[in-house]
Amino acid sequence: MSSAHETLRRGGVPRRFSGLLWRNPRLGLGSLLAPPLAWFILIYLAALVVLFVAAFWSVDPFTGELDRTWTLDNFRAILTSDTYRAIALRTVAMAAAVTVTDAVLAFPFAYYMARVAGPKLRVALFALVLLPLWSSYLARVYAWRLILSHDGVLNWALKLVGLPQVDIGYSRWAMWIVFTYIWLPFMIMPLYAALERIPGNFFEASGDLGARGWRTTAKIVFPLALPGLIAGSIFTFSLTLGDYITPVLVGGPGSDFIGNVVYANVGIANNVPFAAAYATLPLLVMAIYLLVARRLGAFDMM
Amino acid sequence: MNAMSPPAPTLATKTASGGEILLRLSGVRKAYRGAVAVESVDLEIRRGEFFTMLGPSGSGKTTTLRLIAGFEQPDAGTIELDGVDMARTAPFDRNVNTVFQDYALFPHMSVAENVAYGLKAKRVAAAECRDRVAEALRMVQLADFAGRLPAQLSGGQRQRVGLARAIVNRPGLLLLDEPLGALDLKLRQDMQLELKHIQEQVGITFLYVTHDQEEALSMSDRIAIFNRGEIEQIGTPEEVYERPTTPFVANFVGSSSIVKRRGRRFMLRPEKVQVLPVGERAAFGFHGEEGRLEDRVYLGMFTKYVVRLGDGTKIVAVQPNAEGATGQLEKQRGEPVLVVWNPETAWPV
Repeated sequence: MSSAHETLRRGGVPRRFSGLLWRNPRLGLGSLLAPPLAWFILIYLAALVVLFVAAFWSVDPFTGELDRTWTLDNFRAILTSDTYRAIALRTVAMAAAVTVTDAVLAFPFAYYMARVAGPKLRVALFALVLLPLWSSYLARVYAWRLILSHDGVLNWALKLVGLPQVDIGYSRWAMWIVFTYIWLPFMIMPLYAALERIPGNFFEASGDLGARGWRTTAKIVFPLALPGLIAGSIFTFSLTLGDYITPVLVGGPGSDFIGNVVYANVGIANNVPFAAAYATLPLLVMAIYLLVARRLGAFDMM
Repeated sequence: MNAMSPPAPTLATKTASGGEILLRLSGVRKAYRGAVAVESVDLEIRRGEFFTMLGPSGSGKTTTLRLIAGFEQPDAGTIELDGVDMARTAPFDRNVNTVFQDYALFPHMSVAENVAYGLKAKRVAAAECRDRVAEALRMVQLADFAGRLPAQLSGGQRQRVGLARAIVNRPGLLLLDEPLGALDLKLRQDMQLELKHIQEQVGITFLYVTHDQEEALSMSDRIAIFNRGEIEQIGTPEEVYERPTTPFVANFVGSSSIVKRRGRRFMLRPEKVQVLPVGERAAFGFHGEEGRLEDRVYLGMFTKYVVRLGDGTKIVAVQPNAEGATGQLEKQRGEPVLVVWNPETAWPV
């Protein structure tokens, strides 16, 4: 027996290394986290820092060269220009509208999936919710162009049933519909998870204590699903806030988003400092949003 | 909205036999996709009673409770509360409240908000609501915990909140679904006494579900023993223990040995059998038989003897280890002993 123990104790290099890690848990944790941490710092934080710093630079209007002197001109331009204010406001308002619409649509759907549907139907609904995510974002937006355009599927169908035609292709209505459609799964999934976690006997206890369906929904289901709702809203809100493709493809004239301005300044105008300054705006909005969400307990769910 | 007005709390003697019937189940049946949970149950519970439904898991006792609470609808039969059939009435319209096995406290509400939930649903005025919540919390000794969240309480405290949340509504009937099942033994025994005490204090009829026969015997005015979706016997704790009507009841309530004599089966309770050395004489009128000692287990308060009689019958005897008692029979395994019992205590089953 002792010879077997001797063999084990001396062991090979891998065994000795495992023993070293066992004796020094911090070393194990460190080697596990080092690669992602390095990636995070280099690619993610460093880029963010460069963005912030560049926002205070400027571009020489004649030579097009970077001027690395500290200036607040970019921010002054953003805050004083009606156009840039309007674009920022439009972007945030659309993100808010899409979030609210998705929440309203997703709640009954997620509730049905989590608490009513049987196991087979639930799997089928899961597939229906997730399947669109397998196809390209662009393909889906182009599909909506075909549906909403003047002689598209929507008007064809309206004509078929004798209803008046609508002209919402290339408008804010179109953007609202497309955004709502595209981000809906990101609202349904966290809401489903939150609703599914509510123990069944909470419904019985609430009814037993004299509460009808609406009171149970308002006082028990909604508060317990709120963290899921907020988690979903972080997706829908931030994804809409950062988008610049849908406004180009289905928005009409005058439907530029923050992202479109940033894109134009990086590419055509070649004014990277201004683009950087404008790009800090959604970052700021999201930071505030996340702080509020944390206050409401959204991250207890994750 | 509420079909029944809450009955006046009766502090009448709990065991008043022939008291007014509060709840009557007739021919109640419930099956889940072909699997019968409750075959056919008839049951009458008197006002002010502490009534227990006892049985092994899957015997239909919990399903019966859920049918009374309104969480399920029976396939057949009537459930009359105060003479009104409510088999098809929604839970929120029944004058009945439930204490759940795993408490089912709302985690996002404080203790006081949990207890006030039922009163708010019934639109009780704020001032009265506050007073009744405070009173209920005092009764379960949690007055100082009103602002806590359920997650900040121990299991026993959560159970008390569950109880307060139900009795604060002053229901005509309180349903308790294995409320002490998740607690450890010592706490469970304390809570048994306290539950009984609270029941006497508020005078609400308690309908209690448990699989623990000791709990049922110690707390109940009457017990219904469930087996395979039917009631085998209803009676006082003494009746079901001393005079069981079926072999199942004899076995499930307490333990017993079954002896066959003169073509009939008799049940013998272990504490009613004495084990003596061979040659000793049984008291007058007692029946004695010789057998071999198969096992002797020291249990602290008692010693348990297992004796095999000549015809193969196994007899279990329990004797207290009292001062000067015959408990310490110095016999080894395999040695012959004499088992003695009073034929009057051998109950035919």
